[in-house]
Amino acid sequence: MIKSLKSWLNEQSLNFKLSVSILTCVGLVFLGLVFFISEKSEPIIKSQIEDVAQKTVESYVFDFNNLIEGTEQIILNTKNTLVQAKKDKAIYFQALLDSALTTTHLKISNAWIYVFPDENVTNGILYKSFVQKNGEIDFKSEEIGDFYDKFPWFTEVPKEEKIFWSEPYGDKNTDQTVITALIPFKFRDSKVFNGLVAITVNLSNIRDSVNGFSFYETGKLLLLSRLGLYVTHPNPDIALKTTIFDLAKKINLPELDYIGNELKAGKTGQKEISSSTVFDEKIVVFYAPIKSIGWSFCLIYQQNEFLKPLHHFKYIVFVALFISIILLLLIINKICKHSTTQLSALGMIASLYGSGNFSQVFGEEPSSKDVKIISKALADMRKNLLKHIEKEKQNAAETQKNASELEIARNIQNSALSVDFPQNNIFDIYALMKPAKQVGGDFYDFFYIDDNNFAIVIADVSGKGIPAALYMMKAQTLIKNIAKSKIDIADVFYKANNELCEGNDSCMFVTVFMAVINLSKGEVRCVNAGHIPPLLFDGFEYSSLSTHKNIVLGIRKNIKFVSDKFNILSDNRILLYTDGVTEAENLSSKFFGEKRLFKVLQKNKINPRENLNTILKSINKFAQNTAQSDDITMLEFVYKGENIENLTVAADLNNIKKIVDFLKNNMRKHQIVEKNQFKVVTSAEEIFSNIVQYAYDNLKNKKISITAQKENKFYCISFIDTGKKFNPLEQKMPDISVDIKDREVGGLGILLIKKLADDVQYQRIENKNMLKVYFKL
Amino acid sequence: METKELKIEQIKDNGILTCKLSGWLDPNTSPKLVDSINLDKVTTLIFDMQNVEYVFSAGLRAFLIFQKFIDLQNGTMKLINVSDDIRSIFECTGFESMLETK
Repeated sequence: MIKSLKSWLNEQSLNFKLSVSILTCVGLVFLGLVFFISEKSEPIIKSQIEDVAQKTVESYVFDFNNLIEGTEQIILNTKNTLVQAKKDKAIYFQALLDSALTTTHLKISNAWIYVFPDENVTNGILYKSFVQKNGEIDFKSEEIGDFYDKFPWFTEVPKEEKIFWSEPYGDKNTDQTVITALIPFKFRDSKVFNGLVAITVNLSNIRDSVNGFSFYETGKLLLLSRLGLYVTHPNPDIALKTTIFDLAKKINLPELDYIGNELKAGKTGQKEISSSTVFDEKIVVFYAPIKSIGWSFCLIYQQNEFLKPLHHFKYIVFVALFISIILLLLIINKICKHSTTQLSALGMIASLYGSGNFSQVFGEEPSSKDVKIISKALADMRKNLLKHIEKEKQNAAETQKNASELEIARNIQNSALSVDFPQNNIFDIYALMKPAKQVGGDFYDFFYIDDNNFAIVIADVSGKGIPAALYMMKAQTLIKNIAKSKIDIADVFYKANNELCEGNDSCMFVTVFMAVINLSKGEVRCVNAGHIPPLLFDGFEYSSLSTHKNIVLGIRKNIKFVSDKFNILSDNRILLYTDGVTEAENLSSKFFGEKRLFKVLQKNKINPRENLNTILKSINKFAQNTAQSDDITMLEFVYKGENIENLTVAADLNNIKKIVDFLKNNMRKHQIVEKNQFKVVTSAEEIFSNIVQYAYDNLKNKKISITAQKENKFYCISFIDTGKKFNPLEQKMPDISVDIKDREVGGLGILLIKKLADDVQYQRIENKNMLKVYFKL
Repeated sequence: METKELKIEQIKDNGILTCKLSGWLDPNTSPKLVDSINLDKVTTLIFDMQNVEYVFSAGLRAFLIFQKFIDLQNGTMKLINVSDDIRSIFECTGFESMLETK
């Protein structure tokens, strides 16, 4: 997901990417700030508003309490004075009531004393002082039979001496809302209550004040009586007519019921009401009781009124953000477009240069520093390219000439490598060279020194190219010419080395292996001057030929070279190669190596042409398409031997017949007389049995190689095995002088060989036993 | 491949056992020769070597074993019709006392 978004972004223009990234950052920072501010400030505003609401309600409660307590003080004073009187006396009562009315700052609309009827009087008497509409105080007394009809809010005679407050009601005299406080009293020495003292307080001032109060814009203050009646309410249909409980039922708002009960219990608190059916917005009700009378004040306000500015602020920020983003977009676009247009133009010009069209140049005034750098670089590039192209054109012509010269050099070099492989019964030879791309320094050579001596040479000149090729030609010619003068092979190297050192200022050198084979005897003399040891196949397996290690040619003068000598038998092979074979590389830079070479050779005992081509195929398969870094050169010499025959058989006594047949055939060819044939066969059988039983301890899967040849006046058979060291000549001979009865059974075979053969030679070569047996003809 | 088969033809006349041998006496065939001849009550053991082509050391050992057995029975052993080539083998190993005197 993120990856695909990234790749999509990478395909957009710089302009777009810049805009998107800047605007995204700016937008995120702004949004974060706004949310942070609003999250932090909302609770602060809420709590501050609550604080103000609480203080407002508390001040109203305080005022109202003063009114109530003041009234109660007056009524208690009046009652206490009244207790002194013995009997009702109208004048005394009038004075008392008037003083109550006048001595107070409170808005008292009337005060009265009601004396209950007793055994002397049938009707009760009401003495009443009241404020008339014109403001004057009037007094009247009247007999009232039924007191409770006159004051319906007054339901029963109090049982104890305690102030009782009425619910608010309308005063008929003044048309104003009032409440009345009353308390029963006893005359002195009386046992029962004799009447009631009452003071009526005008509530209109308070109501006006409460009604007129508004808390900020939407806040309203409500006054509720002890029973939950709305003493004030903005709606005149509710004020003084409906209780909070009635209203809760009517508009189905259980929160009001809850508030009503809280008020009844005289508790202070706050309630949030969020009923979408009744109010448009969430409202908060803050309430507190007036303890003295059991009434309460409620302050109702819409919370959003106070949060609105904050929300407004948010909207304004959003709009500002939007506008600034648009503005930024336009500005970035403007700036980038100028640069990117020029960049695209530069790109176009660059691609034209790439395709070889140099006619266009960038002519505009660069719009930024970066564009300036690029356009300057482009102009320089154009100038240099034109210069280089001109130079290259000259070079190409020269290279063309050189290449054709190099081709000629390679042809000359290749023609120096003979491909005329002699065909005869004595040996088989094949050689190949696969040159690396350049003219290389490998060469092989083979030639007759005389009728019986054949030379094979392989060499590798250090370095590559024309100098290596020239040096190679020189080395090849020198070696061949000197070798043909029939001197000792070590001297050939001595002379060739001195010649090659002459004037060799460039310090080139050549590694050479050369062998001269005496074809009739199978005798090999060789010198190895710093070359990889060749491989020798001795009828069993290929192995590295261990030779004396001489210094390479061309480095130091007057070096004595040491030659080696060894014999080869029929079907033995000598494989010469250069390091281009073993150091052929594949794609993962691994060498072909000796291990792989041996593995290929294990399978093939065919003619040298096929053998070398199989190796080459195997190298090509290994290297795949890796460029060949060095010449690959190989030469294989297989000795057939004019008079030599070879047989390799499993070391099993059952093969005796095979050996006898092989030898008999061979001897018949050489016209060996019967008598000698018998000797040879008998000796051969004894040697074979000895090898099987003693050198191999009768082990299975072992082989024995037998060769037979005529050498001048001798017939020679030789046995090669890979068993443990076993020299039959060193075995204990039985004493033949003892009487037949005391003779031991062993040792007869070896005795026979020694008696029958004219010469027996044993050699331990590497891990092999080689026994040569000669018979005089 | 098998070696040239050894054939043994035995003719017993009283205490005289004549064995006509043909083929090779090599390490493969010689043990067979030793196993196949019963020397019980034989006083004279004669090997007719007319058709024997080769006697290798293994064959010599077989004859040596027969010689020792026949000596224990106080008998005699003779090889007849031995070719010159084979005779030379016997001679050069000191076995000529086994051969019939011509």
